[in-house]
Amino acid sequence: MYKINKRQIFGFVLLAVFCMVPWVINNTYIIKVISNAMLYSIIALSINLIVGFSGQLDFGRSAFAGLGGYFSAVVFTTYHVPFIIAFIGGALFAAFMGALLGLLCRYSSFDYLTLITIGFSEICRKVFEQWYSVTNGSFGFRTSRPSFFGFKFNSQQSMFYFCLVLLILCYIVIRRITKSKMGRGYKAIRDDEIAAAYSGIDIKNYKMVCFIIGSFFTGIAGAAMVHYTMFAAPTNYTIDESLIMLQMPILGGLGSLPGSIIGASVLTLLPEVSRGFYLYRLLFLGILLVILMRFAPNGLLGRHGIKDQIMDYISERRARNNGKPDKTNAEEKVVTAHGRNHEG
Amino acid sequence: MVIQNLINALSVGSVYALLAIGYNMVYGILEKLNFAHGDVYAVGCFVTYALILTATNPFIAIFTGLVVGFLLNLGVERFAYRPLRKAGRIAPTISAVGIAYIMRNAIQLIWGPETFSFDLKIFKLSHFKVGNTQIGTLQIYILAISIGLMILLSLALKYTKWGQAIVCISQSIPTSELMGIPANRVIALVYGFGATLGVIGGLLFCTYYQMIYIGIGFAYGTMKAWMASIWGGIGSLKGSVIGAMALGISEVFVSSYVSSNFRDAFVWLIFIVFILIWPRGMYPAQISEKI
Amino acid sequence: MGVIMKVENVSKHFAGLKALNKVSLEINDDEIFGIIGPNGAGKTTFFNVISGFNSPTSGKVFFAGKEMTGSNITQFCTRGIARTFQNIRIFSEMTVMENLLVGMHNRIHSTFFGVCMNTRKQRDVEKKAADKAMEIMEYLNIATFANEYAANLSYGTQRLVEIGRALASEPKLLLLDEPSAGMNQQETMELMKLIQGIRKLGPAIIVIEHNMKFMMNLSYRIAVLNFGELLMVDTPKEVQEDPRVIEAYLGKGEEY
Repeated sequence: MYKINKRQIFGFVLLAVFCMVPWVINNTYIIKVISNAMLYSIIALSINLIVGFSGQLDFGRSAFAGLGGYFSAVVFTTYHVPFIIAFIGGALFAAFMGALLGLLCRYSSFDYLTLITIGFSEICRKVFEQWYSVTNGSFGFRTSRPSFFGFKFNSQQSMFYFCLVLLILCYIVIRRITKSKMGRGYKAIRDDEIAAAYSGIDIKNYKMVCFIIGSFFTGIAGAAMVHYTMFAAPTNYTIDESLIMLQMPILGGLGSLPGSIIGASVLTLLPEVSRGFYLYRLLFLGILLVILMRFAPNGLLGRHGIKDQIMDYISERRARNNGKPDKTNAEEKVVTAHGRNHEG
Repeated sequence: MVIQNLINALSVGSVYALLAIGYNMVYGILEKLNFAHGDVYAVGCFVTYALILTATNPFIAIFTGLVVGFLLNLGVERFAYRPLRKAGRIAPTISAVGIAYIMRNAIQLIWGPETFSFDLKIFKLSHFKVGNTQIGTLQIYILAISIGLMILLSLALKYTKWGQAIVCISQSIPTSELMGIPANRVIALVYGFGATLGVIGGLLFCTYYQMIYIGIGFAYGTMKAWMASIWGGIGSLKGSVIGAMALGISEVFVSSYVSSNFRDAFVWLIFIVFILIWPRGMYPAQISEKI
Repeated sequence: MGVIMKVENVSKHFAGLKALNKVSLEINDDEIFGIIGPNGAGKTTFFNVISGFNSPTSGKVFFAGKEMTGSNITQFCTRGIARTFQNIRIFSEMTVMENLLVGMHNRIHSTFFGVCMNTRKQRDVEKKAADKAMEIMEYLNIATFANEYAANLSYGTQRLVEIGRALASEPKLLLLDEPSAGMNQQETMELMKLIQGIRKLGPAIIVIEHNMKFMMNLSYRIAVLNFGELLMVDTPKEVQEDPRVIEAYLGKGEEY
């Protein structure tokens, strides 16, 4: 049915190697960090869908992770609902709140959406913090590990696979969405709203649906995180956290799904590399962001991002060394830079 | 009680107004979210604070703070915003987030994350009573300064050459360049003065609450100024003062009549409802999209 | 032959400025209809009003036999209007292929479930759409750029992509806003042949243009707008010779 190409083989090999990680590495700390990076990757993917594809700047993503996480944890622990229902319920709840917010944002423009999402995340955080009877306030809410039909994900290894499967599922669905009519609609809205409207795209509905889908995935990742750490606290869902989440897809490249995973991995692994780094974290991130926006606004893997620029440079050098005339040089550059498909 | 609250609200509002005027100038002209506004002027405020600690003349300290804010924003504009002016809306905003991070971390590394007590030593703080209502002299000063600055700025925009240049640029940058306005220089100046106004606002804020800490930049500066600007109307000086007053009033009244725990949440709620009903603020600037 | 677009007494005022003043027109479904007029005559405003970007201050717009006054752009598009723009508006960060597929938006019927599961039906739909887009690109001679990002193309090619995107939606009425702007003599001639070819494919076409020679050769009928008023509607020959048109363009004879 499917034609298998080189890229896919490479992907499968990479995946197979990655699956071995818990068997090769016995250090639970490393496995924990990698699992965490995978969950953040899902969030980064969902943000990429909202920010990179439909061009809406959302500064309140952590609130949706929190909504999904708290809902799932509370329903699972307090009301003893089966895990799978609580888990999906958390994601659906986040999507529902996303729908509410999206409905509001139908009537407002770009900047307002940004501000409204910040406001929304502040409201959510306050609710998490003050609604003692349900969320246990600022002490945080304790919950337990996921369990499917009697199997409990108690070990780090099993959680690793749980996160991996979740990431793969989310990645496939998001990739399919971006490759479909919907994804093209989002990109069209991002590039030129008026032309998009004249292509028959219902802009307001599309933006809202994008927001809902994004919220669903943020919610599912949030729920997984809470069950993984077995703990939810309002301090995990601040604006600063949202901003960090936002930087992941931006670093990886807006519009590039593999980029989001790389961005999320870099930004979750970096603080773990050295504890002393924490003090200079913001300084480093700040300089990184400014330079990135200046020279490669599309991050590492986005269109004409750092990867493309390096490839361009290499092919240009190679062409020059071969002594080709200038014209072919330029043509080759175009082909190497843009002949590939970046969302794959 | 209501009158006392109203007076408190007005003075909180006038502090926010100062922050918002500087913010709204940049916002109105370039329609770019300046996410770093607060953190840039916070550096200016901390410089003033540091100089006052070394027993420098307060006026010199304030002046130095203003200059630092001004120069800092000039530099930021040159390196982080100017190259991105044509790059859509997401890139400049993210760049501004980067600047905000740098500034915040710089403050944290130099002065630390603690809250310090703050006193400018130029205002004689006293209170007097009108009936049952207590009014601080500082509250009157702050109100006077913010309204004075607003009037001064509106006049400057209307009657000076530079002011008119700014108005032109807010309409169209390419056209103003064709008319011989040095757009880059004017925009840089707007950013500079925006930060200067921010420092003034920040200092008054610190004086009013008698403390200074790292959060004056983002939590109070950028967010409140941004809210006030949108509440009042993007690009309108009068709007930013009125929006700031509305913000101050809702904060004070929510915390005294509804719940002080939920103050911020409620104010956000009011704000969101408000901008959904009046999406262009109370004094909207005329913007229309062209094909 | 039938009437595809009917405009009755349409006016559009912008804060006192009468951009359009009581314009009435009927456009047949088998013609290339030209609109000319000096700068600021309200030509683009006319396009905006008949395609839903602005709703008219007064008057009625009928399209394909249905009153569409006050409908939004999406409703007009779904009903069969497509347009190009005076300043090119393409999706610059998308490939040419994607640009055309976006144009086909309302012709692609996929369900959310189908997308997530990547069902056979969904794949077929996408495949068919891609084939159709390829066909259009071949017709316009831009098939070589199919996987090229639109931002990297030359001005003339971008124009073609814009036209291609409009065609992809299988419109009943195609609005072209100054399609030959920025083109040289030869390119303009090619464009003229292209537009004539497109007319034979089906859609009625309305063109706004400044290039008189181009318009006179292309249009079946021409409407002349001046300060928002409709001066006349007639064949190119009549329009060319009418003193009112000459006056609108060159001013009154006595003043010189």
